[in-house]
Amino acid sequence: MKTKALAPLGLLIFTFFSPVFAQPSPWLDEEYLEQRTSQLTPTRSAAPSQWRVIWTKEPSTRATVSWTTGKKGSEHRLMYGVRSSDDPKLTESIKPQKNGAYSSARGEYFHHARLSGLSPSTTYDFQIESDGHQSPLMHFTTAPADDRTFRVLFGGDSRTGIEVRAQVNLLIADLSEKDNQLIGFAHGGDYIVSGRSWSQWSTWLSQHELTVANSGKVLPIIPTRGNHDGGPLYDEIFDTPGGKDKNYFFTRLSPDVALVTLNTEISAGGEQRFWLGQTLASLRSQVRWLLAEYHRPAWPAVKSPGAAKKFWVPLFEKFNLDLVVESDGHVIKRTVPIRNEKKDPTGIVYVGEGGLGVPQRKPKSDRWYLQQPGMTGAGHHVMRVEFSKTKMDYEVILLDGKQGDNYEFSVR
Amino acid sequence: MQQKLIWFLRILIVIQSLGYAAKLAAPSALNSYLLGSMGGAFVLALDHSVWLFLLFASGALLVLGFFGPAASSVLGKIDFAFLGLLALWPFVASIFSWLNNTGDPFYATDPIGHAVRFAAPLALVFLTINPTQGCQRGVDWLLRLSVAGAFIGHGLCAWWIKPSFIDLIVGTWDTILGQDLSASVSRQAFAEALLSVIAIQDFILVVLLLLPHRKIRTVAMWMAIWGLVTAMSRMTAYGWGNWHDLALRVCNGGIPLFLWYSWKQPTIDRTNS
Repeated sequence: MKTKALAPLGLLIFTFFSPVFAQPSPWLDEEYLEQRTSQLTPTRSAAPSQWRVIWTKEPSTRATVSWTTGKKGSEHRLMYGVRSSDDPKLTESIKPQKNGAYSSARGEYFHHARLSGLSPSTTYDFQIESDGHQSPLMHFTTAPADDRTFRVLFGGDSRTGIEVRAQVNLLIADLSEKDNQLIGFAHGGDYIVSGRSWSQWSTWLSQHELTVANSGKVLPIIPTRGNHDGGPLYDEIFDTPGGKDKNYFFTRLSPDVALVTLNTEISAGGEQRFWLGQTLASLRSQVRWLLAEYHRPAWPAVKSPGAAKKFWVPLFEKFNLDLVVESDGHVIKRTVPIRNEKKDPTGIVYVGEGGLGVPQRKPKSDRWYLQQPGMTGAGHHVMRVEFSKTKMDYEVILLDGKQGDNYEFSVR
Repeated sequence: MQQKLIWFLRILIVIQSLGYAAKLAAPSALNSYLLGSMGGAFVLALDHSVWLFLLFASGALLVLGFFGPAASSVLGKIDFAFLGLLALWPFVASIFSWLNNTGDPFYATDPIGHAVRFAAPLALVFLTINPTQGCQRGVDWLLRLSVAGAFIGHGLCAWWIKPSFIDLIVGTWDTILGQDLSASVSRQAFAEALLSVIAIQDFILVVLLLLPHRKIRTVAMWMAIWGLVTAMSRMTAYGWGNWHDLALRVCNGGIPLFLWYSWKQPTIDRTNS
C-alpha cells in the first residue's frame, strides 16, 4: 500500500531529475561514438555518400550540393524544394553541373549541383539520387536578405585526432539541431594531414556526415584552404571556391554581414592583397559586421606570425574589421583589440587557432596581445558568432558543450 | 688549413645554431610531427630541451674553439659531440618538415635545400680530426655538394614559383618603395618573372660549382653574395624581428664564402701551422 502511494512521488522525482541523469553530450561516450561512426555511408558503391552543402559568394540565393559516388555512374540528380510542411515536396530537380574523378582516388567521383535563384531565409529539403540510389532526405536554410539575427559556427584544424574530430562533428550537429538561427559553418582549414591523400580526405568527408542533425539539417560549409590542404583535391571537394589558384572570396551572409575568406597558401602580398583592399573598401560602407578568416595567423598564440601580418593587417585596421578568425596553432585564443601593433580599444580582435579535433598545444600566453582582456586556453572547440542589430556575440563552445570563452562586440 | 678559416666555420655554426634556437619560439617540425602521438606537454618539453641545448652548445663551441683541445682529448670529443648534434638538429628539422607535408613539392626540397646547414658542422669535425690534405679535399667536396643542394632546393622552389618567395620579393619592394596597394599586382608579376630567372641562375651556378678539376672563385663569391642576399630577404621583407631567419640560413652564403677563401689559400696542414 505504502509502495503504491509513493509511486507518483517517485515518478515526479524521476521526471524532475531526468535531465540531470541524461547524457548531455553523448558523443563523449565511446560506445555511442563507435555506433555513430559505424553508420557512415559506405563510399565504394554507386549510392551517394559524403554529402555537403557549400557556400561561397551569395548564400542567400546560391548553394552547391556536392556528393561522392564510388563509381562514375550515369544518372545523377539533386531533387529539392521549399520546405512547406511535414510532407516534403521535392518539386525541382537538377543534374550536377560538374562531375569528375577525385585525384588519386580509387574510382570515387565527385558531383557538384550548383543551385541558384533560391529564396533567402528559406529552408529547402533536398535528396540526392545516383543511379537509383537515394540519400536520406536532408535540408538546409539559405542566408537571410534582411536584418534578422542569425548565427554561424567557426572552427579549424581537424587534420589529426580523427576520433575527436567525429566527436566535434556530433557537437556541431547537436548545436545545429537545437538552434534554428544557426545557418552555416566556416571551416578555417587543415582538414586533413596531407591534402593530396584521397584516403584522408575520404575519411574527413564521411565523418562530415556526422555534422548533419538527426532532423536532416545540414549546415552549409564555407571552406578555407590551410597549409595541409595543398593539391587538387581541395578544389574537387569544395567546387573550387573563389576560383582556381585563388580560393579567396567573400560571403555576404546577410545585407549587414560579410565574411572575407583569404588564402594563406598563395602570395599574400600580390594580387590577393589588391583584391582584399578593393573588397574591404567596398564592403565596409555596406555592412555592419565585417569579418575575415584565413588559416595562418597574423597574431599567433603558438607559432610565428605569417605573411598576413605584414600584408593584410594594415588593411584590416584601415577598414576597421569587426572580427578576424585564424587557425593553425591548435589552441584557443582571443587577442586584445590591436591597432598599430599596440593594444587599442579601437583595434581589431583576432580569435580562433583551431580545435576541430587536432591535439591541443599549450598557448604562449605571455605574448602581449594575449593578455587581459584577451585570453588563451586549450581544448577542442567550435566558435559560435551571433550577429544582431546592436551587437555581435562571440563564444567558444568546448567538446562537452560548456562555454570556453565569450565576448560581446558593439557596433563600431 | 688556416686557423682563421676554421674559426670562420665555427662562428658560422654558432650563428646558425642561435638562429635555430630563436626559431624554437614557434613549434619545431619534430614537435608538429609528434604532437598527435605524444601530446602537447611532451612536444613542448622536447622543443624546450632542444632550445636549451642549442644555446648551451653554441656557447660551448666558442669556448672549446678558444681552447682548441686535441682531437683525442675529452674536451675534443665533447667538441665533436656538440658539432654532431648541431648537425643532427637541422637534419632532423628538414626531414620532419618534409614528413609533415608529404606530397608538397616545396617541402620535399628541404632535405637537400638545407644540406649546407648540417654539412657545415660535419665539415668542422672532419677538419679537426684529420687536417690532412686528403681530408681537406673530401671536406671541400662535401661543402661543394651541400652548397649545390641549397641552390638546387632554392632553385626548384623558385622555378615552381613558391608563394612565400613571391612575398619575400614583394615585401622587400614594399620596404624599399613603400606599401602601395595599387602596385601589388605588378609587384607580384615582377616577382614571378624574377623567380624564373633566379631559378635558372641557381642551376647554372650549381653546374659551375661542381665542375671537376675546377675551382672558380668568382662562382663561389657570387654564391656567397646571393646566399646572403636571399637569407637577408627574410628581414628586408618582414623586419628585423626575423633576424633568426637570416641566422639559420647564414651558411647559405657563409659556406660559399668559406670555399672562396679556401680556394685562394695554399693548402696548409693544420698540424704544421
